[in-house]
Amino acid sequence: MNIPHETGNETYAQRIRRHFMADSFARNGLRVIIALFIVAALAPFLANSHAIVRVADGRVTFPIFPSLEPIEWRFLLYVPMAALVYFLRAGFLRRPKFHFLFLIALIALIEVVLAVTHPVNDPTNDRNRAASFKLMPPIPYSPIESTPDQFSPPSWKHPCGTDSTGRDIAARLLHGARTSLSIGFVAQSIALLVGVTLGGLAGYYRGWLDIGVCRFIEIMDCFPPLLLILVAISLFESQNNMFYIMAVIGLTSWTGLARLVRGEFLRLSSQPFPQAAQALGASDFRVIVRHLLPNALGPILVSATFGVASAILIESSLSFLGFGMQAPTPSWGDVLSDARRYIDFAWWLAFFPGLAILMTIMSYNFVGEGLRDAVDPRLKVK
Amino acid sequence: MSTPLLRVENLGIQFGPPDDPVKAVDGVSFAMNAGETLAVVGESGSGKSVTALALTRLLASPPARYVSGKIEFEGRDVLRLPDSELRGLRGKQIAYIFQEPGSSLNPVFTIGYQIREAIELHRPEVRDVTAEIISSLDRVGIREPAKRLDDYPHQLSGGMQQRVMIAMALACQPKLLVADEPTTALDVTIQKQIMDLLKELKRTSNMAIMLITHNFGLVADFADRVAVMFRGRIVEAGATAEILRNPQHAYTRALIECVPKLGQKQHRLKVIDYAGIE
Repeated sequence: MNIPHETGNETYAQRIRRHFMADSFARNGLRVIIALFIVAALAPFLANSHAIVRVADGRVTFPIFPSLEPIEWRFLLYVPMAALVYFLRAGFLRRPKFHFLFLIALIALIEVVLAVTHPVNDPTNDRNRAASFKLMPPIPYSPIESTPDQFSPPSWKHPCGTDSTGRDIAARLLHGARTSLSIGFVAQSIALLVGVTLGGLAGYYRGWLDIGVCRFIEIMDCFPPLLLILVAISLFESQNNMFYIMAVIGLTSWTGLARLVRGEFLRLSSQPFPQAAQALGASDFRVIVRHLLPNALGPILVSATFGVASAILIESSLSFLGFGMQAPTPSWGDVLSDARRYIDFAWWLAFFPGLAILMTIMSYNFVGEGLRDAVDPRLKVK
Repeated sequence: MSTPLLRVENLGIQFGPPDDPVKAVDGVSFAMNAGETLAVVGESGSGKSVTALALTRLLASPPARYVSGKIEFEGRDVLRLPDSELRGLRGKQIAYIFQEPGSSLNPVFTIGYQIREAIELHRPEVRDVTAEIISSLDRVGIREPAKRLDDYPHQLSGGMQQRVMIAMALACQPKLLVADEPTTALDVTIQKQIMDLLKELKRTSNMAIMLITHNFGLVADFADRVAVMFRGRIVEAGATAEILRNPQHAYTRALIECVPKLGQKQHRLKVIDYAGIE
């Protein structure tokens, strides 16, 4: 590894960044993850049966937009807005009151419009409709649309083939990326919240709270996680709701993190600086959040990265077993589970979703390992 | 005489099981007036640090138990103060300097940020916080303080770190500064510098200073009064000069003799003979 020389005054975050970027596996893993997120975000424009632009009978229409869900509108509007605010932040802060009011009004307007309008459920597709000009997405199939050619192997028409009902696998994978990535991300955020809170409190206050939290963790760890998740899912009525699955995965996978945070807090709070902060009049909350947590952030981040990977895997296994996202919502595990019955002749049904899961998990693990090396001062001498 | 700034009466602090306690502090009483300097001298484990931490109830309870006594700061009973008022007392009225400056500063924040936190906690009325930080660093003898604001603790030497700790303690203009072995972790020349700085502060401000040390050598030209602690009790207390000239207690004599003197031929350092004391 070729790590540039230390440059005197750099912050902790800058140092981690420099070491992280010097690791080619971690760097490329991060790139893959970012690319995956962009693909997932733009999925409706990459695979859709509606044309992006259609010119027919002298009229220009954009058939893709009426079919977008509110969440897609939010994404399309808010992300550029956030980027704009970020780039214009200097000018923005010159008249903060006015600009913030303007922003809030704009967001309120968008939300009201989204609340009263509903996406048009138009089952027709623009593939075969005559038009003087049309711009179709790269994959002109929607993920839930059945076509007559079933079990088509990978071809120019269907780059990843089709399944038993003629649905395009590439379209399902592109849309499934949103399910898998967002479940991984949100589930791990929930686990992070629970794990850091409980572990932090146990490590800081020790005593009975610590004993209670540790025993609770041990009880949680006694159950096979998948069993726990299946029981929890069966308790919820609506299985199709993505947020239940996120919550269930998050609430069953925080124990490792809680242990880690507890250990870090025990180590840190035996050093003098938390007491010094207390001696300056800082409250317990302030000591925990402002003094201890930033010191434990490195290992927490590393563990969370691996956690995202495992949450994606759990979601895939759940979908594979038929307990995850219910049809027709596409997810990688769901595509994989469809492959089970036809694996002896339709290899592409298992290959492509498997590849997608493998790529994602591997990228997350590379990023996690890169981060771990970057925050660990002992591994730096190379 | 008016009411003292700080009055400690019959303070008792224990650790461990109640039926077989470790009596860390066992009936300690003393008082300090505003602007006065008191040195608490004693060996490791004599209860001097525990006493100092107890002044603002910094010892977590449990494991520590405040079994008896009273700590009055400006007439307020510290041991019965609610937590919110206690936080107003810590840092604002009674500030601490600890033994290891390196690990008493938070390693992930710049020193400027940490002093800023202290000022923002206790002196919300300060308008120009940055100027206040710079002047507080300037006061403890840090050269070019404006350039040091963005330094991390690990970029400073031990002596500089201790100066930053002192600057942080002084930033809130406390009435009492408790220096808990401020020079123990530093080498001798830096010790001298830090003690000179404390002396300078003693001379220029009306702040009471409680110096905790095991080294009688530091006490002589610094403290107005000395209290000698041994096994959780104050065995001897009085004016510094008086005690140094005419120590009454065997332990005090032993402690004074522990400090090697310049020009004296001695093959072995004196060690404390506990059997002779008890």
